[in-house]
Order: sequence, then C-alpha cells, then structure tokens
Amino acid sequence: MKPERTAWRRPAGLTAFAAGVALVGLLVRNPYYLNVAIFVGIHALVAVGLGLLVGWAGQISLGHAGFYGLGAYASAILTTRFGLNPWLALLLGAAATGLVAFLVGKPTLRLHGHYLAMATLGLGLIIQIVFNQADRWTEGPSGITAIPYLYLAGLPLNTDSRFYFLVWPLVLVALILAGNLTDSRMGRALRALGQDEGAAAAAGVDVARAKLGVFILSAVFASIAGSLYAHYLTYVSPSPFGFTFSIQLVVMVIVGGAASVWGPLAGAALLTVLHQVLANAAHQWAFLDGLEVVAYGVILVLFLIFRPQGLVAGRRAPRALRLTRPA
Amino acid sequence: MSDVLLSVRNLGKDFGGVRALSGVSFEVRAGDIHALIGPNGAGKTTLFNCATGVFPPSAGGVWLREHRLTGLPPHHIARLGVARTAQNLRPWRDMTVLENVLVGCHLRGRRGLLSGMFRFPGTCAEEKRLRDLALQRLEQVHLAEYADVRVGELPLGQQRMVELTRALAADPHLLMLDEPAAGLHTRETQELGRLLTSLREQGLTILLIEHDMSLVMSICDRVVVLDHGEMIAEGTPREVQSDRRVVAAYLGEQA
Amino acid sequence: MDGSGLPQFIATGITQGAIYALVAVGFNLVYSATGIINFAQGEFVMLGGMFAVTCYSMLHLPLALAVVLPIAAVMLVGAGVHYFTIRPLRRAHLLTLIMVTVGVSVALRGLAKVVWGADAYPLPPFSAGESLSLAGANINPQSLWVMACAAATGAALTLFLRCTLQGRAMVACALNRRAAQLVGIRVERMHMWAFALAGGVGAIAGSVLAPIALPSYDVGLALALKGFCAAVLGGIGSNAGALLGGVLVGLLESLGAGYVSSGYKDAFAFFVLLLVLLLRPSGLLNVPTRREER
Repeated sequence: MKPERTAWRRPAGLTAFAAGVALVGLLVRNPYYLNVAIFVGIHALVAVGLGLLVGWAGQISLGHAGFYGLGAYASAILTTRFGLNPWLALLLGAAATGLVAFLVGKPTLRLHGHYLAMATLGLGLIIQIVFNQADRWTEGPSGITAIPYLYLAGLPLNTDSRFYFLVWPLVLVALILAGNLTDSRMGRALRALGQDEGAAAAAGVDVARAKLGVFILSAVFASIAGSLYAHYLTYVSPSPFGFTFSIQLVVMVIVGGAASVWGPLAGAALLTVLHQVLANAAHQWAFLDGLEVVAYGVILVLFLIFRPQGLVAGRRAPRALRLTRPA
Repeated sequence: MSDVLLSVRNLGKDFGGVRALSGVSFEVRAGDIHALIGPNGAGKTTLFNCATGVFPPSAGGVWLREHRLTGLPPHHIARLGVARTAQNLRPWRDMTVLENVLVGCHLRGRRGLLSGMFRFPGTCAEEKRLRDLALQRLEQVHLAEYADVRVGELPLGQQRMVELTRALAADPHLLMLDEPAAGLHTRETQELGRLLTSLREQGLTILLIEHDMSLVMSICDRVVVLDHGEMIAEGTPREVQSDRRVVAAYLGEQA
Repeated sequence: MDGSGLPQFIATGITQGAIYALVAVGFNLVYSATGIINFAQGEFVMLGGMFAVTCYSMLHLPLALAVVLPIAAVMLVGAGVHYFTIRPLRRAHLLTLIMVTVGVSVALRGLAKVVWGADAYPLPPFSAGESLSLAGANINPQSLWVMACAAATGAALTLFLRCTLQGRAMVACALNRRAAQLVGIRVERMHMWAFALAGGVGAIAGSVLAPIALPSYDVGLALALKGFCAAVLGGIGSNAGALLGGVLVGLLESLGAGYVSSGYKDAFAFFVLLLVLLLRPSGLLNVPTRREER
C-alpha cells in the first residue's frame, strides 16, 4: 500500500537535516555566521509552533512576540532575582506562558478567528507595556542584564558554537514533534477544522478545545525559544518583543509555508537572513531603515495573493491556505 | 419494530422574522430508512441543522431516545451517535481519502495533542487500530485503492461516497444524509440505494433528505413531507404519493 | 480650575471615546459589507492626521481645506487597498483576507515612517476660543469638535445605510452575497465603497484628533485595537453600539489612567475586550454574531 511507500521519507529527511546541522556546527567558525544560525534556530522554534496554529488550525496570532518575551523575561527574572536553575526557570516560564495563552484563548477561540487575531494583537502590546512599566521586576526599558548561562552536563553554554549545539537539536526535536502530530488523531482533527469547522464538529471534533490546545502549544514553543534567547544573549529588554516581531513571525510562517512541517523553518531562515542583510545595508544607506517593515507588509500581502501555500508546499499542504470559501 | 430512535417535537425556527420551520413533529423508528422530502426552501436542511446543533431552534426540540439534542454543541451530538453529511459536499478536499475517513473515526480514538506529538505508549497501537478500521470501511465501499488520493482530485460521485464513508466511520446509531444522490448518475444512485438498504439490514437508522423520488420510493420505510416549514404529510411512500396536499405542494397549485 | 479629578477624567474620557467610536464605525462599515475585520483601520486614522498636518504646515493650505482634503485622499487609499489587495482574493477564506489587511497595515505604517519620520506633528485647533468649564472640568473647543464629528458621522452613516439605495445595496451584499448579485448589485463595487468610506471616516477621526493628540506614524495600532474593543463592546456592526462602546472604552481608560495607573492606560481596553468576549460576545446591544461561513 502507498502509506508504506511514503513513510520512510520523513526519517530520511530528518536524518539528512541532522547531518547538515552537525556539519554546519562543526565547520563554521565565523562567529557572525554562527550567531545568525543560532537566531535562525531560535526563530524556527517559534515559527514551527506558530505554523501548527496558522497552517493547520487556520487561526491567526499577532502576539507571538509577546509569548516569546514572556519566556525570555521569566527566565531572566527567575534566574537573576531568585537564583533558580535556568532549566527550571525555562519550564516555569513555559508553564506560565501556557497559562496566559489559556486565559486569552478560552474566551476568544469559541468565536470567529478574527477575535483571536485582535486579542493576541492586544495581548502582545500589553505584554510589552508590562515589560516597560513593571520596572520593579523588569528594570523597565533598560532591561535585565547578567542572566546566567545555561549549563549542560556541567558545561556552560557560553560560546556560540556550544549554544548552536543546544538550539539546533531542539529545532530537530520540534520538527519531529510537529511531524508526529501531523499523522495523529488530533493533528488530523486540526487540519480538518482548519478547512471546515462545521464539518469537523459534525464528525465529533471539539473544535474550540482543539484550537485552544494548539494555541497553548504554540505559545509554549515560543516561550521556550524566548528562554533560550535570554540565556544566549544574557540580556533582555522590552524592544525586541513588540508588534514588529510578531508580524515577522507571521511572515516567516506564511512565506515558508504554514501547512508544511518544514515551511516555518525555511521561513525563519529566510526572514532572519533578510533582516540581517537589511540591517547591514541600512548602515550604509540610511533611507533603508524604515523600509524593512514596509517589506514585511508587502511580502505578506504578495504571498497571500500569489503563493498562499508558501515556498515549501509539502505533500500534505492544501494547495492554498484554505483558498476557497465554503460554498 | 416500534422502538423510536429520533423524535422531533413541535420544532420551529425563525430567521429574523422569516419562518423556516413551524410546529414540525414526527418520529423516526430504529432500523428504518426515513425520508424527508419537500420542495426547495421547505425547511429540510434547517431541520437537519437544528437537530445536529448547527444552530438552536426557536421552538420545540429534537430528542435521540431520552437525550435532548437541541441545545447541545455539534460535537456532543456526534458523540451521542448522530453522524451527518452536508448538502453542499463538504469532505476535506485537501486531505486524502484515508485521512477523511480517519477524521470520521475521531470519536473512536482517545489520544490527545500531547500523545500525538510525543507518541506516548499506546498511541501507535491506537493509530493502527483506527487505520485498520478506516481501511476496512473503505474496502466495503470499494474505495481502498484511492486511500492516498486527495479527495479534491476524485470525481463528484466518489467524493460523495467518501463523505458517506466518513460519516459511517463514526459507527453512528443514526445517519443523517442531506441529498446523498445529488449529482450522482443513475447507476451510482442505484448503488447508493443498495448500500443504504444493506446498512439498514445491519441495524442502522437513516434519515435522509432526497429529491430523487425513485430512490425514496424504492428504499424508504416512511416519508415526511415538508412545505413552507410545515409538515403536510407523513406515511409510507405509497400513502404519501397519493396524498392530495403533497401533489399540490409539488405542482404548486391549490388542491 | 485644577483640570484634574473626576469631572476632568470624564471629559477626557468622552473625547477620547468619541475617537474610538469613529474608529469602531470604520470597522463596522467594512465588516458589515464584507465580513472582514480591517486591521488597517487605525492606519487610515493615522494617514488622515498626517495628511492634514502635511497640507497645513508643509503646503500651507488654509486649515479648512487641510482638514477636508485628507478625507478624499484617504478614501482613495481605502479604495486602493480594496482594489489591489482584497479584490484579487475575493474567493479566499476570510482569515486570509484579514491577514492581508494586517500586511497592508504594516506596510502603510512603515511607509509613513519613511515619509514623515518618527516625529509627531502639530495642527492648530479648528476654532479658537477659551476652554469651557463645566462642573469643574476644562473642555477645550476641539473636544467639542471631536464629539460633534463622531455623532454626526455615526448618524450620517446610519442614515446612509438605512435610507439610500446605495446604502441598502451595501447591506444586502453583506447579508447574502449571491442574492445581491442576482438582483443586479455589483458586489465588488459595494465592497470598494465600504473600504473607501471606512478610509473617509478614518481620516475624519485622524484630522479632528490631530490638534489634541499630535499624530505620528505609529498611532494607528493602538487606535485600531481600542476601536475594535469599542466595536465589540457595543456589538459589532451596530453604529449606535460603536458610539456607546467608544465612550465606555474612553471613560474606562481615562478613569483607569487617573485612578489606577497611567502607565497601564493602554491595557484597560484590552481587559474589557476579553471580558466582553467571555461574557457577552454579541456586545451590549446584543447584535447577533454573524454566521461563520459566507
């Protein structure tokens, strides 16, 4: 039967990917490139989670930078103020972020998708306001410094290449988990409700609950990535966790291909590199400074119009991001 | 044979002042194929939607044995053993035939999001059990060879069969079909009729909306006729066929 | 006059609320015609303000003209947004369309930053005159302009939608697209008008607000969010609801900033939004939520 014929493809792809990751990590010595690679990995973790929400369940979040920030600040505060073990802080941060996602998702996900979009937009703005205002905890706009490094087997992850070998295996794990989900009962239910909520409900899928589950899941992915960010830079401030980054994340997912497992990874790589290139170019040509944001908006619109399935369509991807309306 | 499975009691539905259903009451006996017929706009699909929780009725209710269906969310109703297909074809066109039927098996599995991701012990066994069930269903309707084809790529007749199979995969007590023969050609319609009668022999109760009168007359045990949201006749196909009001409703003249 | 205390908070809140109401009316226009939540609505307001200050202080046009011209200009922007981004996707899922408006909003905000930089620009009040003092609150004349504009715009649009053929055609498209087509209404053109009018309403809000809160490229986001809160609070689609919701959100925000914490001013509206969605998603005026499919 055909299922067996395609079953080997994913392990083979993942093995090749793991080999590539290892090769890059061993061969690349240039700290700038390693730094970019680490950010690609961190962003990919967020994007893979967001891809599950956008590509499958068909929901939009415009506040994932906020969840990412919650993870980062949770790690920063818990380790610097309370001297908690960084790994424990990461887990607590993820749990707290999941709780926030639950509180916001519960009322909104019963309703039409645009409520979630607006609610997450608001949540993202509020989270950034809190980072700026609650200066007893967050040191306000100047941010928290001297966040400890992560330790793995007694080894501090204080160099780019060590951190690289933490982040990218995690990306691999995220891809495996997302891939597993695709071929599972709830994964199919999510894809079904993304295409047609009414028909999914008639088949017995608890639509609101399934959407809530994947929303929380994607928030937790973002939070974990945020914790990694905090321990990598050892410094957090409110500015990276704003609306622009939320949009950047959505663009990553759409450009890469929301409905495929690999798409968000490709999108994260492209957008992170694009950001670097534009930032470098803006040093030389000042007028480019504001155009980066314009580019995100334009890219998003163009992709939605001309290639809604993204660059990596994937064998399961809908030919378009739910291109046709239910009749 | 007089065991009542579904009862519709005094059901009414208004859409912003437009009366789509009013005072409709009838019962569907377990093991029957029961048809709901009537001219376009008679309120047949509205009745289905009220019964499956798509929207609440304005008056009355629908009961499955002792459970009141109206007021429950759609997935609860599905859990009670009611499966339905929609009038405008709604299989998940971007998913494969097998995946469609697997979603139909949703209620027969229990594994959640985290299980699916981490493949906790037992997840794979359940997945295999569901797959076997789904494939078995597909073999029954001779669709197994298309298991890995996207539904959107199949011809209309087979898409209808996929949707029907998906509904059956939940192992329902009651199967509600909204115009299952629409768009099928004669031979396919006859096959559908044979399939439905064989399902009845296995003990399934079926309520269907249908315009194809030869299908209705040949397989149905009882028929309810709606016109302008009201029930104008009920009985065996033969009784209904000779009812003056039914003839008038269809021909659009006063009897 | 100390200009603080409860009466002042109420006056400020109502003024601010009138602006939110105008934004909410803009949301309603597009939503009732197309079912889309137009995330670029806040950007329309920003553009209205920016065009007004540009006309006044850079092109040295008379104030009246500098206020009226942007309305036409942003209407054109609104129509353009529909023509170039929404119309090509007319068969797409609603969420895709909503995402497109997010993209448009980001692009417009970015462009505004490129064109006008990060500065805020002043515009003089529409009419000179002393502040009114009423029960211990200072109400400047511009506040009155804001309230009057909000009320007039809301009323005019309601009349337009209820009493003119054009307006009723617009409503018909939203209720049943296919039926509207069958009776000869050109649905796409109606949608374009909805976007254009939303642009116009946004521009009115932008220029009438400019003398009070100096416009800069980034004001649109918060305005969109609070306007949406107002629209949902009142019951989305209803203009009376928008006015009610706008004033309530404005009051809550002003009182919250005054008595609880000014730093968290922007957070209050959001909590209202979540509460409303949790307790009464159809809004205070109980507008039935739209069927999801279209």
